Amino acid sequence: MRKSIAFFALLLVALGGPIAAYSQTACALTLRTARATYDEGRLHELPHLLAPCLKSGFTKQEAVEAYKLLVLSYIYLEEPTKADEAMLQLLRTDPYFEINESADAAEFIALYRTFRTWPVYRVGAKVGVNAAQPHVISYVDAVEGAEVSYSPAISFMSGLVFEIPIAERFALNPELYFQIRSFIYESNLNVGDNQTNSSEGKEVQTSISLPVSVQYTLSKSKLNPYVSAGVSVDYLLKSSITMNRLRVNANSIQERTFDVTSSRERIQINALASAGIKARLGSGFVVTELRLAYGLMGMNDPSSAFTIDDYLLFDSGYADNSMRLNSLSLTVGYIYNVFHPKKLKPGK
Amino acid sequence: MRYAWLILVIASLAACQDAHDARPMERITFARFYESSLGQRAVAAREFDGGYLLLGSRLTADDTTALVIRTGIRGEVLWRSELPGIIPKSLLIGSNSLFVSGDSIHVNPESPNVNDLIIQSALLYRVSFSGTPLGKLVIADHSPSNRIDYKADALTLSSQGDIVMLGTFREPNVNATERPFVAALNPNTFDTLWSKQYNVIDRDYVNARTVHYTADGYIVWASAILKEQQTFERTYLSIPFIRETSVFENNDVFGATTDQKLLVGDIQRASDPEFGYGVVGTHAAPSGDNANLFFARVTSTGNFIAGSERYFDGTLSAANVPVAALESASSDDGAALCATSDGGFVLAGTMSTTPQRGNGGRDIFLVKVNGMGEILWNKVWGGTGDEAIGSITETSDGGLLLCGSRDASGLPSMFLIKTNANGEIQD
Repeated sequence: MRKSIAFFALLLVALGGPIAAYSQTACALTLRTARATYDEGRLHELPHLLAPCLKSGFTKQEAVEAYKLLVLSYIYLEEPTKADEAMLQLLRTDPYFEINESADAAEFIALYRTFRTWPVYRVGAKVGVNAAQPHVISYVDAVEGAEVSYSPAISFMSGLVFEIPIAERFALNPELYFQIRSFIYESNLNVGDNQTNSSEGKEVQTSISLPVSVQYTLSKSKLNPYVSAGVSVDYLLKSSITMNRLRVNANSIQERTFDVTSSRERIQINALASAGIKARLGSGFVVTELRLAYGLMGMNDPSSAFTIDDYLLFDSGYADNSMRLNSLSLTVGYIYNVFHPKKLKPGK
Repeated sequence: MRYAWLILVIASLAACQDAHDARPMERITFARFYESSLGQRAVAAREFDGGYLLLGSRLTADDTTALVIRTGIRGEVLWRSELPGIIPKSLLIGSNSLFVSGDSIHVNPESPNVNDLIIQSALLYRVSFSGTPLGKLVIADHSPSNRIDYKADALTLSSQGDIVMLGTFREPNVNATERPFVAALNPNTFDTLWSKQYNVIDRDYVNARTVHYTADGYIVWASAILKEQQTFERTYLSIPFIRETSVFENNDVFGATTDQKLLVGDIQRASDPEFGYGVVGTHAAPSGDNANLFFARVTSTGNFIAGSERYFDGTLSAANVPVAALESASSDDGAALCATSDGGFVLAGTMSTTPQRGNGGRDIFLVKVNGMGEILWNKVWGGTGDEAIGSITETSDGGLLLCGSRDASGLPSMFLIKTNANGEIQD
């Protein structure tokens, strides 16, 4: 029994390839016949002729041509419902199908334009890096005479991207990111003789970000450059400061990490401005984008500037300046077009 | 040029930002540390002319210098004055100048007389409101040998505007004790108007950091009366109450009949002088164990109010409950107190960190009590090192001003902290 099953399996594998190849060759022949039939004006024969291969056998390109012949046939046979159905099948087979204004029949072009032929949305993913820079709104000094400065640090981000075309060249661009933003804090006090007491810390903020922007495609070309503007709402998951302290004539204070989440505003709103390019690849685009996020809210409560953590204050002389957080990000990703072709209602 | 805006954005983000490019934060509280490459300790701080005055000391191996720092409303330094050769203890704001008193220690390693190896003298500096030293008084024994040691502990102003100095002296005798003196000085010339030494009992007087001159002409202070017995220190408290040039008109004591180590940190008038004074200190077993922060009330005539004594432990009083005298989990001390306008007092000291409370080493321990000594709130602040309290005062806006030192890594530095009325560095 087992031997019989193995034999049939081998037979299927051995014959499957040639059968498929035969089927494709036969359907190519059918398509050639269909073209001739169409040219001879025997339009009513085409649906029956093409039906088996449309069911199975045509390559994608052949199927598109077959549906196109069907659409034209139904138009001339004055069967609009069937013409619509054939056009819908054509667009489902190849959502990227485009009419040839100079070669296609006017009736075909007119019918094509009554269908939604653009992607309803795009979906994809992006990864990238960002550099965050606090903007000090107002300062407090915990160490007399110390110079306090902030500089950006590079962090990672990744997320899901959606694009919803809303008009010619315009798209709504909601996204969902997991992002880490970080920056460096430095405090230096010159205590004379070119000696310095210093504190150096790195604050790392982990958040979920929901940006929504409106994207405008500057030109439809190979790279499809675009600009966009919008807002993002960030929800802070965690924020921590790792602080290191060095003092002249004293032992250094051991580096420690402090959870400062409770001293940070959980919700942040940012204004966004982006510029990018979208290069066509396969059924979507490779996207590269540079984005500036400008913090619209203070990231901390100024009233608690000195009460973040006793160790930070007494050991490191750290107090929280009132700050907004800006960041610049560079992301790359891939977005995939999702089409849902359908007959448009009159007037659209 | 098309992308110049982009370059500008990137450049502005990539550049460091100096916090001082922004405006200073509007606040009613702050904490500020004053550091240098040398150790510094703060002794006293006072509100002064829209800002603050901070008195501290800079310590070196062979000298001590007093630092007088005038700050703005956020504790930022406006000027700094250095007074050489003094271990500062007291800061007094006069009508047209500042006064700093303290001790000077002179070492004579070559002296054949053991009594003259180390000679202490009391110092008084007069400093202008802009920080310029204007004059100096040295209270010392100028005998060729067997000199008397003098120390200056506290200053106040009499109702006539004269300086009243409380200090101690010790005669050159192995068995001599340290006893108090009070002197009145002309604030401009430093001429001695009168002075009085007190030889009441044969015990050491360790004076609190404050002396008061009452509206009806009495001088009152607090002392710990100490008698060392081998490794034990048995002490009790006394409240000397005198008129100018008089002997003690009253000298009520607390703990004279019991064995304990009872040190006094400070004595301050209640917000209403009719309610007398509050006293803060440290109570411990004679061995020094089970130390707690101690508080007691004293009448306006210098009598301890029976039953007013309270003991607070940094750990066991966390839930705002007093403890029994020797009930202790952390080693606490009481250094300073201030009366608050609501009739209460804020007691300031330190506690040693325990597994239950504290941030390492000794931390600041604040206790707010009402006029009856009932605890209203308490707080513990500090870092991994040792913190110490110099003084605490109530500010004109009802907040608290504390100074002291923190020693995070083997080098003490001064701090000035302004809190709200609840002892929080908030807003």
